Formats: sequence, structure tokens, C-alpha cells
Amino acid sequence: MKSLVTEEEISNVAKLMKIDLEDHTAHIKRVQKMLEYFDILDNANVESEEITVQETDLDKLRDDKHNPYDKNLLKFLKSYQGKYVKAPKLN
Amino acid sequence: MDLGISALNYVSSIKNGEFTVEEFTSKSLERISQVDEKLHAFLRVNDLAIKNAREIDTKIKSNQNVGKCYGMPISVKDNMCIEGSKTTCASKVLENFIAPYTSTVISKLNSEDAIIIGKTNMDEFAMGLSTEYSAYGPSRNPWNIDYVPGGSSGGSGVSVSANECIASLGSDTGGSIRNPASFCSVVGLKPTYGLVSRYGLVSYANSIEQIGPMTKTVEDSAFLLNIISGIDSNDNTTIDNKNQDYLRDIDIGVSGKKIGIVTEMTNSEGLSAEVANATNDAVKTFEKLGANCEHVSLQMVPYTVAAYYTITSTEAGSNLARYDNIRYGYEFDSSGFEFNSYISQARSKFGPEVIRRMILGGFVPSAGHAGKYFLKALKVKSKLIAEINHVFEKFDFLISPTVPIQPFKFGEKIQDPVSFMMIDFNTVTANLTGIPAISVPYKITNGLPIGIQIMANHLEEHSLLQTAYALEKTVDLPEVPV
Amino acid sequence: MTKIGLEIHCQLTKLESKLFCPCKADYREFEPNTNICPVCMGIPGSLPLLNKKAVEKATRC
Repeated sequence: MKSLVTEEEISNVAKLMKIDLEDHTAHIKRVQKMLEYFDILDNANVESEEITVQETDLDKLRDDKHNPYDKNLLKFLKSYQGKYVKAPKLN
Repeated sequence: MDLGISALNYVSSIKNGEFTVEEFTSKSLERISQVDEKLHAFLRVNDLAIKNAREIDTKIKSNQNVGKCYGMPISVKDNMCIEGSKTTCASKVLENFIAPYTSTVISKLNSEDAIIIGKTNMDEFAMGLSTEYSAYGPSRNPWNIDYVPGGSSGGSGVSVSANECIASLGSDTGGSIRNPASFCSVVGLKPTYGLVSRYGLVSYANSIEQIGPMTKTVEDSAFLLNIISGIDSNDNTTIDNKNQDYLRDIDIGVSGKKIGIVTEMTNSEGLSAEVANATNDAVKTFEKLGANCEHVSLQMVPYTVAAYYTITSTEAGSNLARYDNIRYGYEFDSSGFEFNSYISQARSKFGPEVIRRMILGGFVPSAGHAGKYFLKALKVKSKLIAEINHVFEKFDFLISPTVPIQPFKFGEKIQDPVSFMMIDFNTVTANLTGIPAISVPYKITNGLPIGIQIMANHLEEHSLLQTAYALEKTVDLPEVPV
Repeated sequence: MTKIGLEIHCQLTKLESKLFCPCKADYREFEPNTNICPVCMGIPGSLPLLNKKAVEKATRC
């Protein structure tokens, strides 16, 4: 069964994912083909299946201790002037 | 001095004074300069390698404690951070990213006196199967340079196969170590999820990816696994492997072992005749070695590719949301831009496959669609895990061809997204379930490699490596033609 | 009938460290970009380390 995903929906998602698509068509057609393939999941008969989650013991979690990061991190990053980061203005 | 030497033999040779670390490193660098313009395995070569080599030679001469690696040159896929050096993930979006810290696995190698000889090429952000999606140009298969080396750890596979280094670290999310291992005729191991720390590995799909060794021999993979595995306080998903020695008793053999031949992976539509022949041959070999081989069905396998892409796209969409080119990225002056449009513009530098997967990743878990795609994929994953657990009650190992086809020519598969995705058909099961899987080079047909995949239950790397070793010992492959 | 939604945020500054990394939770005395680490800066390859006490407090109710 052909997927009912429209170009408009895909274009909208691209905007939400913060990607500026100048030429939509190439990407969109291919995404549609991939989504059509994913329809195969409908044949897996897994409706009643429970989703298993990854479990971690509470003891494995990090203890609540302040451990300052001593290295100079900012020197590796761009757009910093002193302790402030320079970013474009929000409209 | 044979650059094709294994890691273990390299260590013996250094200890026996047959050559120095500097001599071997120097020859490796020479090899890289001779072949890499053609093969393009490396994105960057370490210009401090000789200096590191000299330091290790000094340690050896003055009888100081030397790490287990004795200066062996190891390459690392360019999605693992090394402090002070570029880590681009083969993307334009991280062209100038200099990592502020070093991955745990690399710190471990460094403290064992390995020399990180360079960063290798890959599919952008590990999304791909052929290294054709690198933003810096593809790598080429040393067995035939018109053919792809596999991916996404293609550069790593090439660097080991072409004897540019002794071993490499790759990463495997859907087959990205095993696929290029098979295509380049080297050993590639994806460890149990959690066995190796992912701290420093640029995340693509963090619920299933793993770092693993790509080596010339099975013993070498065991040797490296000994060094890189183990619990890490920087990675909450790591498991305590209780200091297992993966080299111990590696030659014990497979007599009496029960091996399941995964039906869905050995009779799929996309399986080539050459690969089918090699697999049947491998089964006969295992039987001659004393193992009991029998077909076994994993009913969820035909749905695993769709489930894999659905789940990983979702995670990728989230993991790649951070790339806004504000604090790290590439040169792109923000003056004159408004905030949101700057970010969208900056992100348009992602390659086509990354863009597609991020769009999918926004779509498949979204309201109105999650039930059909994402949640269903998670259910397929759950059912597959149950099947695998059940199957390992009866069998010790599972085998299949690593990839349903041999290496293909550049541009051949990249046009059709579905046939491209199907290359992963045999490998994603191990990622979705977290079990360990290894690809062993088995045959060269028509000048191109075929690898056999062996899978074992969680944390059974020790016996998995024994079985891989047994298969490897029956094989006598020609030398790489480059 | 008017529906009023209440979105409630709870700052756990009484904890010693942040939710996902060991930087200090009480950030108020610090200058910008000084109470940071690769995790809370979202540096590629960093991984979140969930705060045990935060989970304990959250699950107690």
C-alpha cells in the first residue's frame, strides 16, 4: 500500500528539524521511497508485543557530587569572546 | 620488515629487536604516502607519529615499563574524539571541530603505548554502507579500486587491508565495522552493547552503536578487545567484563558446538550466488571441525532493516540537533544573519544521506505517525530480542554471510534507497539485540572478498573469538594486490 | 469553560551537581560559561550521566 506521506508533510518536518532545503524534490522523493519501504513493519504482527526497555540499576547511576571540570574548554570552541558566546540575533 | 604482520607478531618482533618502533612507523608512513592518494583511507595523518615512536623506543632501550602495544600504528575512525585534534565525522559541518577531550578507548590505547597514526575516512556521521557518503570523497577498495570498501568504517577497513597500519578502531551501528571488514577482507568485531565505552564517540544512534577493532587476525581483535573493553564512569551504559582475557584458550576449537545457520539470512532475495556458495562452504568447514550445524529461523529478520532505520533515524535526529555551528563546526560568519535562519543555513551543509535520515527521524516518531513507524519498530526489536534469547538456549553460535553481496562498483547501489538499505540485511540483527558479532574473511571470488559473520549471545566474546579463530585457521587467502 | 494549564518547573539547586553531569547545580554565583563541562556543553561524543539523587527525589512522590 502506497504511503500517504505528502511532500508538504516532509517539507514541514524538514523545517522543524531546522534544515533549510533549497531543492526539496530530490530529498523528498527519496524519503517517500524509504517510508514506503517501512510499511513492511505492518506485516510483522507485533501489535500485542510489549516494548522492552533498557534497564539500569539505580546503584549504577552517578553519585550527586560536585566535580568541577578543570580543563579550559572554551579555548577549543568557536564564537567565544571571554566568557560570552557570540551568536546571531533572535528576531 | 613486513607491513602485513599481525599485531601479536609485531610485538614479538619489537621485543626480539628485529626492528625498532621508529623503523616500523617510518615504513608505515611511507606506505601511506605511496598508496593513500589512490585509496583515500585517511583524512588526516598524525605528524607526531615519529616523535611518539622515538619516545617508545627510548622506553624500550632503557628497560622501562612499556605498554602492551609497543608502538604499533593504529588508525581510528574520524568520529572518535582526540584532544587537540580535528574530529570531522567526514562532514563539512564539523570541518573545523577540534575535540577538547580524548575518547576513553583512545586513552586506553595511548596508555598501552599504541601510536594513533591517523584518522580514517567514513560515511558522514556514520550514515552509510559504502563510504560514498563521505563529504571528503570516498575510500577505495584495495582489492579493486573501482569497488567500494564498504562502510561506514570504510577508511578503517582499507587502512588495515592495505597494510597502512596494523589495526583500526571502527564503530558499528548497523554493520559499519563488519560490512567493510567483509568487503576489505579483514577481521571486524562488533562487541556486546556496553562492553566498550562510547565516551568520545560522536553519537549517531546511542542505544545500539559500539566501537570495535578491525584487524588482520582474530587474535589481534582479541588483543585489542582486552585493552579497550571494560566499565567507564563516563559512559553509564558500560558493563563490567571482570577483566576477561579474550586471548586465553583462543585455539580451543569448535568440537561439539551447536551452530545455527540463520535461514532468513542465507536464503534472502538479495543473496548473490557467490556469497551463497562461500557460506555453504563455511558450513561444511565448521562441520569438518566437529561442530553441529543446523538451520534456524529468526522470523523478525525480514523486518529488521525497516526497524533499524526507523529507530536510528529517530535517535540521529535527536543526536544531530546540537549541530548549530555556534560553538563548534566550520567557518561561516554569522554577521547579518537572524538566529534561526543562520542555524538552518549552517545545517544545510549536512550531506544528502544525513539530511534524509534527520527528516525521517523527525517524521517517524511524530504524533500521528509514531504508532505506525517508531513504536512498531520498537516492538519488532523487542520480539527479535525474545527470539534471539530463545535461539541461544539451543545454539552456541549463529552464522550467516556478513553481507548478502560482494563489494559493488561506485555509484551502483547509491541510486536506489531500498536496495542500498538491504545491504545491512544480515548485520542489523546484532545491533538491535546488542549481541556480539564478528566478520571473518573467508574467500576471494572474482578478485573480491567475502566474509562470514558469526554471532554469539551477550558477553560471549570469549567463545565467539574461539569460533572465529577456528574458521580463520582453515583459510588461506591471497595477499592484497595493492 | 476556561481551561488553565499549569506548567510547573522545579529547580533542584539543593542538589550538589547538575542532572546529567557533575558540574555544580547551584549555578547562581558563577559567571557565564564557567560552570561547564563537555556534557552540559553538548560537545560531540559526550554522554549524559544521570544524577542518582535526582531520580530518588523524583520517584519518591
